[in-house]
Amino acid sequence: MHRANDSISALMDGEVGEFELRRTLEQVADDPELAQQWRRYHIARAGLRGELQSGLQIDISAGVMSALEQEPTYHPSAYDREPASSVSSKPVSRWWRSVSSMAVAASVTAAVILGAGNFSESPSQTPNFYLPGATVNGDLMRTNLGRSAPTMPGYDSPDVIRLSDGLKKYIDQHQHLVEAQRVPQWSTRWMPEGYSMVRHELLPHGEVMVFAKGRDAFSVSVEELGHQSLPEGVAQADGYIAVGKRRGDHFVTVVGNVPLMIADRIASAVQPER
Amino acid sequence: MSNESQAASDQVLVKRVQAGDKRAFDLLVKQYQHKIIGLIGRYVYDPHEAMDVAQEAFIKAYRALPGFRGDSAFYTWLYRIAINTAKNHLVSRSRRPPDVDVDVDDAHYIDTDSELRELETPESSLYRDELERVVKTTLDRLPEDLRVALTLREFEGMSYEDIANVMDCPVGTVRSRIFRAREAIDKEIAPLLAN
Repeated sequence: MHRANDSISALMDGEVGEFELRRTLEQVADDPELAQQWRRYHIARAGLRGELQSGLQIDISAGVMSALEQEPTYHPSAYDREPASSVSSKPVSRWWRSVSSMAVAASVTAAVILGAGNFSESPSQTPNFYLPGATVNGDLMRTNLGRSAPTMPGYDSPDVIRLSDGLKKYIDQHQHLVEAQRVPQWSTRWMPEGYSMVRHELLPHGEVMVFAKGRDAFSVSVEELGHQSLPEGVAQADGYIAVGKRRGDHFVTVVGNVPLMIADRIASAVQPER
Repeated sequence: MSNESQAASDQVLVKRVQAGDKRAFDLLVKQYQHKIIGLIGRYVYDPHEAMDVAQEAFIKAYRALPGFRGDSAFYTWLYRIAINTAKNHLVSRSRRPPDVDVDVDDAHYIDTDSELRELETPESSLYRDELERVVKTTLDRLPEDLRVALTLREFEGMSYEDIANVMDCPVGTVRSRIFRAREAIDKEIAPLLAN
């Protein structure tokens, strides 16, 4: 029986979302004809492009997958925790490493600033720096979520989940992001020459913008009063300057590897869109 | 050909494998097996041996996949593994790898199975040519809206959204047209491949 499935076609073109991808993979697993359809579609593509190979009747996939039955199934948390050495064909340039680390640093900066506001129950004048999921505290517990598939050797530690108190914050965050249909409300009317915005994230109770110029970057966080983790003023750590300023009923924090005067001027230039 | 969209499609499947879904790897194997066998055929001239080495290359790729970060396209990464596996295979058999290497960046485009073709029978060569003829003839005979949609996709590498703009129709219609075009071709080639 020939079973048509337009998801297979869309998947070939990279035009499916995460949900449809999962559903399609389940269908393919249940229906070998769909897997053959995928194979034939690719043969047809090669035929259209004049790239047909020899041995088209050959299908080694069953042998490969049979051999892989003995292999461990990758677990996403294991993958995140311990990346193996890359088999990339291109060496990563020193410049790109630098930019990457800059971007990570900027993101982490932003996450730390807003994360402390978002994920701690009560705002404190003492910064409580932690990233969600990265630190085990009273809001976390370890458990086994009932995985049946074997995991990678050495990665059999139980999953970490948040208890209901902590989960409430994520539910609020989810509802806020999904339902609010928000658009950016803040911008800065001045920034140092050569910088451009590389990210603008909308988060519960605030927004964060990240600007970069080559290896330099700064982030601007705008939060409703009461959700910030720093008092007004200036701080310096690890080569980064942080300037906190009250702007009406909001609080602006600028963090980056820029001079203090520049950070202060940026903070002063932040304004609502309308 | 759109390498970017192909890479995007591959990356979606790669991420699923990395997230623990082996089924996605099956699709990658089905997608690339003929090219990989052809590539390995440049080093390992016996077709049956080439298939064994190809299988080994896919298994190695699966094992190495947690380390794949997408710095290069998946097929480039896979081809490198295949070439290394083929070379190691020759060394283990006390045979010398060929002096002329395959450039990994070019491997996707070159006629990779010239050596295997030398081992082809006239029948298998005719079979491949017939399959290609059927595919192209079916495309030519498709209704214009289906033919244009698939042509823009396969030869121009356009996204569904771009094709929708060109053809002045909704994205869903583009998706449906491309699927129907592929189905029409598949209907013609399925019996050939089954036999």
